[in-house]
Amino acid sequence: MQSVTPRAVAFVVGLLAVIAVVASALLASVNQERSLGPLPPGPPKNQAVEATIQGVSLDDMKRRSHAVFVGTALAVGGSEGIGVAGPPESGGELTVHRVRFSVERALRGNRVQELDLIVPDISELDTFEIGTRYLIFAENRSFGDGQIAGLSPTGYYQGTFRAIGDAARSDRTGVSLSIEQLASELGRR
Amino acid sequence: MVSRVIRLVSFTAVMLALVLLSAPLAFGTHINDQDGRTNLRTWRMAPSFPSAWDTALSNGATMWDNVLNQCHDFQQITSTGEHTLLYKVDNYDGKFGVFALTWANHAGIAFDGAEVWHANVNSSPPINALDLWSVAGHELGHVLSLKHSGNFGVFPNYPTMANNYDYGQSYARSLEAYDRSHEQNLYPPGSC
Repeated sequence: MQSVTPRAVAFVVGLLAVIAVVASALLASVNQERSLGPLPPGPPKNQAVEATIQGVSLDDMKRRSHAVFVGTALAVGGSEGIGVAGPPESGGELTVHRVRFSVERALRGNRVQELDLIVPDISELDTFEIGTRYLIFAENRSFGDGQIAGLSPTGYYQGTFRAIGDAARSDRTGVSLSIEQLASELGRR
Repeated sequence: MVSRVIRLVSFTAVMLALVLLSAPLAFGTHINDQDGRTNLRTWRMAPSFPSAWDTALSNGATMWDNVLNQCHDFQQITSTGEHTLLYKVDNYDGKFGVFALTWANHAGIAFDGAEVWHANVNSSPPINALDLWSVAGHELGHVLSLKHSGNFGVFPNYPTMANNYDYGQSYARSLEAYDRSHEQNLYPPGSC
């Protein structure tokens, strides 16, 4: 029987140490993605009622969205200022809020358990109901002075579809689609 | 003695009622009410607005005033007071999202400065720019309490109050049947 040399032991120990460091780094990055931090308290202000927004077709949404996912709305955060003043009489700044989702399936973008969408405090653009399952097209946006940035629904309510089973339908635009067919188109079955 | 006092009080009450009832006739039929449905709404450009935008914004208001059989007026003012302030923010949500928004109590209309705005009323906007006249007309329609039309109709006869808008378009410079009929319903003749 061959004796184990101290060099071999040192090599194995070193190898295990490297594996442990890499594994803990990976775990830490995953945990970081999962830990979004608490949402600001309170309800959104919905300070504006209507807006003119760009019309976005389904093909445009598929092309320009950075993330597409199926998930359930978990919570709505309070309003956060974007560093841009409202009308002087309002005495405040323009605001947005976050809606947190548990992600059931990512059809495009990072595979994460939860994510936040940023939604303007404009009542007609805020279409999410807690506990409802959605198919969401989302794109990166930077609001106001740039302090608040992240994923926001593509075309706002146009990129928001209620999902029941495989069927997804937009309440506002009436557009319907199949989640499986979309997953196939986007290359994530 | 008592009957004289009663007669005097009654006379005073009647005269007071007559004065109050005739006040709108004496001072004009427009009531400056930003939240109600009648009748004069004043608006003002923020001092930071480019002066070249004035005509496009004014046209956005005038097209509502020019509808027949309705009882409403927009009036541009330069002083402070009760009015809808039209102003531009440096950046709201970047390009391709919200173009403009109307404040909940109609206190303001914000235009997103991240977009390229076409203020020339004598030409159509290029493909990468938004028509200021059209978007101002749309938002001022909201100030009149009009909602989105919900459907587009047939191009180029899309309503000014259509749900969405896009670059390079100027169709919202003219009102369509949806726009006119809803304004007339909200402000019928004789309601002033």
